[in-house]
Formats: sequence, C-alpha cells, structure tokens
Amino acid sequence: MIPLLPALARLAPPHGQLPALLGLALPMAFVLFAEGGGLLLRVGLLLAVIVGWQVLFARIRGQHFGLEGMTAAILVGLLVPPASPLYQLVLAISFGIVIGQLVFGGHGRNILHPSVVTLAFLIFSFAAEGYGQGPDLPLFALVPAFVLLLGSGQANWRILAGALFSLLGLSLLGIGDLPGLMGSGLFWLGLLYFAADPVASAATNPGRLAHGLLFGLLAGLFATAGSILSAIVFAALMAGIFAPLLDQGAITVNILRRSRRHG
Amino acid sequence: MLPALRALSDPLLDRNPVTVHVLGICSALAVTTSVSTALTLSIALTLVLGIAAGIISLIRRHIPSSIRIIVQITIIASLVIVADQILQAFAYEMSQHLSVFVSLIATNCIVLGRTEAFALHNPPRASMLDGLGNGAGYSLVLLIVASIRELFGAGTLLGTQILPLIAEGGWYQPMRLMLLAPSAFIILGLLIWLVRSLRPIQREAREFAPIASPRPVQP
Repeated sequence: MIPLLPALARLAPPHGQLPALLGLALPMAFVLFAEGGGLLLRVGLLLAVIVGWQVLFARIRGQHFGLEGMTAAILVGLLVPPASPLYQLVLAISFGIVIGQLVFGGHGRNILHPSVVTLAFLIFSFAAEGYGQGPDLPLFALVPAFVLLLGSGQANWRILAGALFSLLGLSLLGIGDLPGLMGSGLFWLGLLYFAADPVASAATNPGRLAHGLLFGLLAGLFATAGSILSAIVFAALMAGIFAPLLDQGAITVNILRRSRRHG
Repeated sequence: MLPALRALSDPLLDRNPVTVHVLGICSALAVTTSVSTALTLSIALTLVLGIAAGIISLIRRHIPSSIRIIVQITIIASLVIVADQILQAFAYEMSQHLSVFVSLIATNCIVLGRTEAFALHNPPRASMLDGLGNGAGYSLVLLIVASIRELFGAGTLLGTQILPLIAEGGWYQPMRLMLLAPSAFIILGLLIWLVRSLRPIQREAREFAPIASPRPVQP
C-alpha cells in the first residue's frame, strides 16, 4: 500500500500548467451546461487513475510529477461521449498515461500527448461506442485558451500558422471544408492542445513550422473522410511521431549552412 | 544442470531470441491474431530450425566458407517448402490463414542466425538441441502474445469462447485494437520490459547519455 500524502509531496509547483488549465475552464463550463454533471464524474475518475500511475512511477523512479495529469484528464473527459462506459475510460487512460508518457520518463520526455494516445486507443478499440464524435464546442469557448496559450508561449505561433497555411492551401485546391473546420471549437481545441503541445511538438523554429504544415495537411485530409475529432486525433498522432524527424532535419540544415559559411 | 537440458531451457528466458536479441519480430506481428495460427507457425518453425541445424551441422566441414550462406538458405528453404506442402496437404484451411508466412520462415532471422552462429561450429546433436530450444523460445513468446491478443481482441482462446461477447448476449466488449498490428508491438515491448526488469543483466547500454553540465548551475 502506497501512503498517499508522502507521494503527493512529489507534486511539482503548478505554474507550468496554469494557462492550459485556465483555458479549459470555459469549454468545461460549456459541456457541463450542455450535458450535466457526468463530466465531473468522468474527469474525477480519469484524474484518479492518472495520479495513481504517476505516484507509482514517481516512487519507483524517485521523480516528481506536475499538474499535467489534470490537463490530460480534463481533455479526455471533455472529448468522450457522455454515455461512455467507465471501465473503457479507465483502460484507455491507463494506456495513454503509461505508454504515452510515463514509460518515456514522465512529462517533458514524452513524444506524444497522453490524451491523444488515450483517444486514439478509444477510437481504435471501441468503434461501436462513437468515440470519434466529440462534443459540439462553439468557437468562442476556445478564445481564452487561444489568448492564454499563445500569450504564455506554450502554443507556438509557428505551429498554428503552419496548420492554417496548409488548410488554406488544401481549400485552394478544392479539398476539404475550410469554413467548417475553422468554425468548429473542436478543431481549435485540437490545434491548441494537441498539435501545439510544447512537449510533443517540434522544438526548433523551422521544425515547428513544418510540424504545423504537416498537422494541417493531415487534419484537412482526414476530415474529408471522418469526423473532426478523429481527424485531429490521428493528425496529431502522426505529426507528433514525425516531430523529432522534422527537428533533426532543421538541425542538419543549420549545421550545413553554418559549415558552408564558416568553412 | 545437464548440458542438453540447458541447451533447451536457456533460450526460453535467459537467451530468448525474441526478447533478448529482438529477432523474428515480423512473423510475431503477423500470425499472433489467434493462438491456432501462432501455434502452427511455432511448430513449423521449431521443426524446420531443428532439422536444418542438424543437417548443416552434419556437413559443416564440407561447406566452403565463401558460399556458406547460400548453402544454408538452400537447406532451410527446402525444409520450409516441405513444411508448407505438408500443411497444404493435411491442414489446408490453416495454410490459407497463414498465407505467405510459412514460406517466410526461410527468411526468419532466428533460423539463419542459429545455423550461422551455432550449427556451423558444433556437432549435430548439440546443434539440433540448440535449434529446438531457440524454436521453443520463439514459440513461447508467440503463444504469450497470441493468447493476449486473441483473448482481449475476440474473447476466445483457440476458438473457444472464454469471455462472452456483448454482441452475443454476454458482457465483454472486444478491443479491436488487439487485432491490429500496433498491439503486437506494444505487447512485445511490455513483455521485453518485464523480462528485462526481472533479469537486469539483459539490459542494453544506453544509446544516449544526458549531457552533464560542467558545473552545477545555481537557480
């Protein structure tokens, strides 16, 4: 039995996650208003499972953990349908937090956002439950998140610009539904929290632009074949997998340019 | 322990070709959606490996070193063709399920790896035991992965319903992810993690070490 209080002493100070959490307040209030208190139950359960795994890994590895689990719990809780069976959520969030984050060494070393891994698991595994649908968030609910994440620098503007540029290019070619995506709060939630996640996205400036371009391209193409939520989840998954490669490319180009300049 | 028994038991855990050397992953992904296909391929591979190791070991002093790979592949491929024909004759449906993967035993790294590394330098009896042991190690991993995938992906084991499905009036909702290739990677990864936690000697050296700062930075 793990004593809970000493374990919670490993909780790092919360400042890193505050903009992300504050930005989620309005979407949460909106979903709470639309479907009632089931959301709080889901988020509470998801958070309990996440903290359980985090405490276990923190104790085994002697590390600290932050509030990033709360962000992940709220994101997953918001995006799954109200009638989703709780055991599926427990299974999926365990998979997401352990395979998506903790096995890599915790927050800051993960290559994918744990919520994206969780949602991909749900959409893949339980196709009959309608996990690909997602709530109908209005655009205005994401305005605080946009301001807070962009203002605090957690969501890099290059990723957003790249994604919008890709979508614009696609719509000029006559592919996809640009106004439909742009007007959906769900798309902006995915763009701000999944694609522009400071850990899972590319870390060099050219890499960020390329990451945004790739995410926009994939999301635009996937959205023509499925729902917006599954499009952003799988676009974020693929773009996140390619992010280290994009960074490596940017670094290699920089090294070549400098060696040509300086001999 | 008896050396013969050791040759058979070592590759099960301490020198497992899949979890230690990470060989034979391709077929471990492809045939593990059900236990019956995994079992068939395991038996076929173990027999092919054991017999090939014996034959190659018998003629090891006569194989010119420059063409030894070609000779080994020829022997292995001939045995694979025999195994494939036997399956087609006596278990036609199963050979249809396995499709190309029986033929691909010829390219399995475990087979060529054991004949090249062991059978070419050791007498026939030891080589055959080594081949059978490595085949058993491969089979063990395949059967573990296949049992997990079939049980949670379809609720069955060897075709018998273990977990009653919701679609048929039971309570279990099958996880479709388990029947897709990524799940085999994830299960194999977790299995290797488990084995290496229990046997720390199998851990590989770190590829990257974090750069240590020359002096501690004061916050």
